[in-house]
Amino acid sequence: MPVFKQSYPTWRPDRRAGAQRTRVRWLPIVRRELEQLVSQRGFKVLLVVAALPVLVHLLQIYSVNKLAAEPNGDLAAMLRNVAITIDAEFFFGFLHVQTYFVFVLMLYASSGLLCDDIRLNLAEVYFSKPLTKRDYLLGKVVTVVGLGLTYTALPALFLFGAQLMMVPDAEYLRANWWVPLSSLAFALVFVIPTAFATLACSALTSSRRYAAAAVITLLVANGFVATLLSDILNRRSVSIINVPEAMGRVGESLFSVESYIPLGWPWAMAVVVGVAVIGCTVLVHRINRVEAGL
Amino acid sequence: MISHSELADGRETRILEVENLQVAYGDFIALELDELTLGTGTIGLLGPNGAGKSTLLRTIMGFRKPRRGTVKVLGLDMSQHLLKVRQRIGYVPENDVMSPTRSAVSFVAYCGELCGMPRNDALQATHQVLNYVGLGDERYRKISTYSLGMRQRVKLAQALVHDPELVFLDEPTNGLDPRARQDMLRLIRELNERRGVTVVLSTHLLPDVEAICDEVVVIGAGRKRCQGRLDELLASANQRYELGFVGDPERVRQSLSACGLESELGLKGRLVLDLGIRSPSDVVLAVREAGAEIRHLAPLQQRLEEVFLAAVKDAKREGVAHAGL
Repeated sequence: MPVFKQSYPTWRPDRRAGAQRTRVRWLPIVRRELEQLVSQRGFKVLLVVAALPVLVHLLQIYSVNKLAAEPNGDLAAMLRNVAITIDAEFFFGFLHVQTYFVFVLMLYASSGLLCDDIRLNLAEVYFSKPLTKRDYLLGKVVTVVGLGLTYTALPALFLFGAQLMMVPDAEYLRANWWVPLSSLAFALVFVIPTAFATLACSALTSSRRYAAAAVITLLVANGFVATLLSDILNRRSVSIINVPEAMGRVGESLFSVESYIPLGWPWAMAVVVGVAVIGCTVLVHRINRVEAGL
Repeated sequence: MISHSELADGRETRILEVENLQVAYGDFIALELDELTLGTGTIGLLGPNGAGKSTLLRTIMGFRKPRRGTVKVLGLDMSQHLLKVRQRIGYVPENDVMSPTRSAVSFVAYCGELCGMPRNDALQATHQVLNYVGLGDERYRKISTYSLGMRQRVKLAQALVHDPELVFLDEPTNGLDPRARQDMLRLIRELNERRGVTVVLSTHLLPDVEAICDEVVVIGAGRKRCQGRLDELLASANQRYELGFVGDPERVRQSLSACGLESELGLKGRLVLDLGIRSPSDVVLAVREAGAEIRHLAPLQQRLEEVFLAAVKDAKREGVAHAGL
């Protein structure tokens, strides 16, 4: 059929029930970005790898509660000799290990989220739709933060639930009721600044590779400067300016774990919040410029 | 199907009202419009490179905040109803848009969802609109494998998927081969004639505007230089006549000048006259008085290009350095 004989459907949002959906304008962005990510083989591999610590810790919980409780057997005896306690430190340890995997996952996911839109002029098209800059950024941030929490807070809660199911009474819950809250808080402390920082690097660079390289460079430089200053000033507390150290310090406080950094958690929290604020500011500034066509 | 008259009856007939608008990049004033009102139809926004056309479109779309002034689109003030307006308009940017991983279906459907369309509706509309723009068989291919002409069609499709009442097209025929350009122009014209969609076509390609537009706005150095219906602009330009004669040119010019008709030398020794309020018979009399014999007297075949050049002549005189904004 010739082009000029064809047509397309009339659509008026105010006459449709679906018009209500426009209230959550960032939701299509989250859905579409996740679909895009899941369709990539590399991302699927990372998802599987990042799930491995969860399986290992689940196995540990099962071993401690079930296998070690067996009265007989070599395996039970061996497990009793291995000092594993399912306490707050166990969950902190899990989250600490998990952050390395999730960092790679988040870096992979977020590094291309903004730079591709900007480089390929897609952002201009998206901003011509009934979508604010806030909706656009919220969609991107929710994608990355959601992904991070799915692989940190969610497994921690799952492991805590598994532990509760395996212990015989409610004594464990009475003693450790705060652990799920601490897990969620620590996950947020890690995920939110990481999301803002990686997205900011994505917004400032022209390709996902450059964005990933920029994040890693910043991270290495940050660690190097922190170590250098700590050695020069001979003060261990200075190492708090190292962002991963600061995150860990906040986590130690949340899980009541003894810290080797002789500095209060508010200082560490200030560093973490600072990274999030800087990342957010850069993001907003960059998106403002992109929308204005500068 | 919405006809043009229904549009005029049921919806806003003044699709764009700009008042006292000033847009600046730092200290540089890129656009200054005292007044600009556009009706329905197919409207050409003309201007040389750097005249401020894209800045105007970006301001209308709400991408750029004006330093002062108001912009009303479809009767709604952009500063207060930005999202409502964007719901009802489409925009085809000048820059090439390419998604390396997405097919045209995926990209256009996503744009539909961003406009608030439910997913199934967006997908259904996407298939139809991609057929409409002539990408029927190719719509599942990745956009990165498309030719420039196909990518221009995808850009048009994303602007139409939510069924807008008004579409802004920024240089939609840039880089297209003659056939693809003709197809695109026919599609744009058809969009207005059959769908009742008002089209604002920003371009520096005058033949495109001549081919499809009803109304023309010429912008130069950030200011409106002229505006009107294309046929009226061309008709006013046709007050210029070309005179061919046998006789002493100097005497003829003096005789014409005595009648208040200024002339300038044209091609092949002919004179070009601006008749203004006078009629061709005045010219005949003046030439006869000079003792010459008329061989040719006809309206000068002016094209839009001459109207355009005359309109932007003042802008050049102002010498404002508009540097491709």
